[in-house]
Amino acid sequence: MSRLIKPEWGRFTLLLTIAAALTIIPLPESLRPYRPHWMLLALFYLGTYLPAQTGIIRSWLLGILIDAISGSLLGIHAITYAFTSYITLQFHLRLRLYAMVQQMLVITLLLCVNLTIEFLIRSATEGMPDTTLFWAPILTTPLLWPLFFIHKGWRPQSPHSR
Amino acid sequence: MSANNTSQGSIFRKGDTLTLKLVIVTLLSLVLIATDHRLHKSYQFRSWIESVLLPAQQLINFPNIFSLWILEGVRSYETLQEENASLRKRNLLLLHQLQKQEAIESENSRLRKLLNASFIFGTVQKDDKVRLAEIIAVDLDAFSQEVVLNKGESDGVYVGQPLMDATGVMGQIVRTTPYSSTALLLSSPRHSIPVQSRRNGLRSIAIGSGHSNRLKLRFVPTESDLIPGDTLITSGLGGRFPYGYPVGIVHSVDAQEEAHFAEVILTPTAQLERSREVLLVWPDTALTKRASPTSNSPEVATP
Repeated sequence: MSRLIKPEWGRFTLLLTIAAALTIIPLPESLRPYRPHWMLLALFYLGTYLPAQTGIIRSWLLGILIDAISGSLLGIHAITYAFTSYITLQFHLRLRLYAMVQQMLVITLLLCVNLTIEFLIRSATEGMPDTTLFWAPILTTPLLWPLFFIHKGWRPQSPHSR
Repeated sequence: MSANNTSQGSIFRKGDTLTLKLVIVTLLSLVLIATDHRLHKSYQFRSWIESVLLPAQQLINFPNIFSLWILEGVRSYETLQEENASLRKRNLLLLHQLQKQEAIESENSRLRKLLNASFIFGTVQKDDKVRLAEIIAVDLDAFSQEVVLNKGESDGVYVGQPLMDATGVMGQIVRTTPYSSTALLLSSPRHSIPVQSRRNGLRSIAIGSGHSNRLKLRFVPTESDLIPGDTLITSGLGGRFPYGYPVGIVHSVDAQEEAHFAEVILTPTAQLERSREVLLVWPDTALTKRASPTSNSPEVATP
């Protein structure tokens, strides 16, 4: 039954390309720590509204790519991206019914877990800079969710209703 | 493929496949992180990915370059004239200083000869080659303090090469691709550089703190003679950075009576976050080559 609906690769690639560009676009030094986690927002959107195109392995490979460009240890972003996709895919039917504010809360929680994973790995390997600004994206990221949320109406129907 | 399409004949329910995938992927990541941290084998892979993505990086940087170009274009005739005049004055002053410096350098080398000095790394390496490079303004990980430059292997850039700006040492090259390279800045917690005090020659190692305006000195005894305002220069030990380039100025010294080591904070002299044009330095190899047979193997030299 799900074969009848054409997968939306266009939206998928566009969204990920924009998110990746926003992740590495230059910002003034003072704003850099506050840069929202665009990839998390994109993955959350894809997992919730386009689950047929999202996959854990795919998110993981994407994370490896981001790790390779950004110079962090290979695997740090990969592990958090895979985790994000896992949670959104697992609960996508429920997440879709949530109001925007509830989704923002879920995003905040997800980001907290992701940052904790990253923090643990980084402090176990290369050592963290002694700054609390590491946690600053928790404040900025959920606030940008409305930008993604308004596009969900592109195709309200689930491609694979159980 | 997506977990949802596979289900028909599978033994696992959808949720189980997802969890299984997550477990596999997590284990894989942990293995990758550990091997990357221990063995540093990912270098080739990264430089390959970077050279593939270079056009995209330059595309992202394009608005930046474009706005700079527009700004240059609309600058008025008078401002240009003023700038020209002030630059000419500055150039005269610098030339004047250079004359004095040449005299001092030759006197210094004469004195060294008189002393029959064997301290080779302490000599100023006059013939360092320098080339301009530009930072491709692509932001990498906010905490790893790396920048991408527009010169690569084809311009002779090599891993470990020192990077400066007009006022001091900025860092060193850590990865290269044919047409670009990535440099690690001094301020990264992963970077350390051997330094010595210009005033009294006290040696130490400066380590990045993760903030672009702070470095820390390691293993400085509490009773050592360092005061705020002292300039620290590269000591040339380790053979990677040439001797004599300024690294930082002592910002504060915190020497507790009961501690073994003083906590010394430096402000880097280079403008780590503001420089756009940077200098790649090819150190004069003649001195280091002459030094290596005597310093490595005195036993071989004696018979």
